[in-house]
Amino acid sequence: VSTVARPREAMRALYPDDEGYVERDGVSIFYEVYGTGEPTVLLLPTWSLVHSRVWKAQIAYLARHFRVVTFDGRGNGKSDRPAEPAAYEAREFAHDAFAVMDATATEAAVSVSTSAGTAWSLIMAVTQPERVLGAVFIGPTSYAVTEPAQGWMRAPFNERLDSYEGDNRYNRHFIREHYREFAEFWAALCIPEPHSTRPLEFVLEMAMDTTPEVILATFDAVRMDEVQSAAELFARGGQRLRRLALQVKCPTLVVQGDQDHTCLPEWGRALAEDTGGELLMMPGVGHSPHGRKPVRVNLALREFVERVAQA
Amino acid sequence: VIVAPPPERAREQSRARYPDDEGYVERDGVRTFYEVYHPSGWQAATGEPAILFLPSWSIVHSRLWKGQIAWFARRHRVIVFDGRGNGRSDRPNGPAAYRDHEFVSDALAVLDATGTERAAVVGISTGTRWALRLAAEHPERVIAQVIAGPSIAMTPTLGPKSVGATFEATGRARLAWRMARGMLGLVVTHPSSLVSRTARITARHTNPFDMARMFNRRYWQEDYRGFLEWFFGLVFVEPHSTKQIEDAVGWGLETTPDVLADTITGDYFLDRDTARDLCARVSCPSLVITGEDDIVTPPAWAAALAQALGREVLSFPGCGHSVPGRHPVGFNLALREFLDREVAV
Repeated sequence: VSTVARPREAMRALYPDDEGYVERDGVSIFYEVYGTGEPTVLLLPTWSLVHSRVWKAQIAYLARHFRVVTFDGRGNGKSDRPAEPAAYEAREFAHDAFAVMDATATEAAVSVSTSAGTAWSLIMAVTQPERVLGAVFIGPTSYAVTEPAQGWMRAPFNERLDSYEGDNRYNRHFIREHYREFAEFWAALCIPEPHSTRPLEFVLEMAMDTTPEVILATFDAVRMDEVQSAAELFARGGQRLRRLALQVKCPTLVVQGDQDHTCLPEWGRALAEDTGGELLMMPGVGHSPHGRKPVRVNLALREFVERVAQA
Repeated sequence: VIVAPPPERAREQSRARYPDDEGYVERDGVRTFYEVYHPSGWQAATGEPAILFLPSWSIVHSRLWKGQIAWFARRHRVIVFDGRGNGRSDRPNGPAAYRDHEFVSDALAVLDATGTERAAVVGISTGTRWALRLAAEHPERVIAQVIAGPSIAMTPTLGPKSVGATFEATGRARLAWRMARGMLGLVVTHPSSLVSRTARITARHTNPFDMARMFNRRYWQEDYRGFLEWFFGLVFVEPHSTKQIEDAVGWGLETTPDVLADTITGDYFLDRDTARDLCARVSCPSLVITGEDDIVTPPAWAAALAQALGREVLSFPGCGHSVPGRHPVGFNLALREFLDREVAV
């Protein structure tokens, strides 16, 4: 377990009413609670490249209407950074979420996930459906449909190359040796909208809050070492997620940017269809609708949560 | 007066609020476009006091207040107009059409046309001259005045607008010579201005030669967009200002270098003594706002103007020339607090 000096945090619109840690198998998970409304909205972590501040544009608004619980996924923020890949398997994140719900006396919640968080959210909704009132998926990860694959998905991930340019920066060795450049590459892929200098800077700040070792552990957790490229992994993992999604009973909402080059619009569309949920397709938006178009997303979240709560 | 038709306008972005009323006032054949927003607020807002947001330099138009309009229109009746030379207002020819008197008269005509007896008047940059004149010369129409980033050279400073001497100059050598002479004069008479915070920040963003090169009629005719991008880069020195710069450059492109040249060859600068005299005649509550990092109209100008008005200056740390454009929340709260405190309705 290693710790990193954290950069000075920007001022927040709202500070948590309660915060604390839960521990599972020696790994500490940091959580925050905002507001006192009903029901609780659980803002899930995503890939450990970032932490719970990805929700900074949601928390203050949602907390006016509901109770908001969020936590730093293992590997970043104020949570621990275990070394072994097994600690980053999807079920670990899902169980962290249940542990945080227990610690905050949250019987059930509407879960909101983005990107990699799709997996933890689906596991939660299927394994303990009584605790998930509804599930929102924003830019959901690799899902069933694998075409058309983006360039980075076909890049040789495990191969050592002479040089790393363009999509080939999606590479284990590049991540280890040029972590900051990798984070910049990834951030630019996720946030293609103009006027995103601050969101890009912020993703980089969060990425630098963890280490390349942690990031590589998250890849090994999904057996990236056994495949040639992400496309191959997605073909496999996507089907697994689909089997879960078909068992989801709660109401769902998928929010998807039509310019998302990280998690493809086809994925979002398929997940909405398979779960019988609504699809909010956002034109001109990339992989971070909640970060880049918070007003529209917040209104949709509020409307969904209110509807689920009334049901 | 020869009135050139406004050029084709860029497709406008969606707005947070659309005007409830709009129209034109006409003076000497020059039409000025105005918009009125009625209070839409929650608690039976009276709309009083009405707020008149003045135009600024005709390099921009009334959308410069887009961070203010929707929020203030929840409680107040809000009036904005495009200054002659940009937006949907006419673009008369010749410097005479852009003298202070014309903008002040346009403002009064807009107040008349919208049935506004009195208003809180808010001006930024060039517009602060018109705010000051309205408050001093037409006190019966002005309930309070707010002045942000005053473009009134109260202290000698080397800044992008202090290069009037080079505007008509042609040839690099002549430009450099004029600029050097100006700097030399400043070194002799006001050496401290060259080591001020403003001078330090300015040095990070541009250099004296660029100022002379860019603030030049010939340059505008050759590379107007280049000038706009350079200038608004100095207006918005804050990081992450790409959107504000893009907006402002777009507004600048809605007029022409010739029109813009006309606006700065009249009485473009208000001299210090006239400004002091005007300040002495102001009786309404006044608020002066500055950005600590403003290098277009240095904080020293705002401080001196506030002093002349017998007021404190409200300084925003980390802000450049456009506090309302770049820091609308802070600006709006300060303006509302001022109105609540100083204006009895």
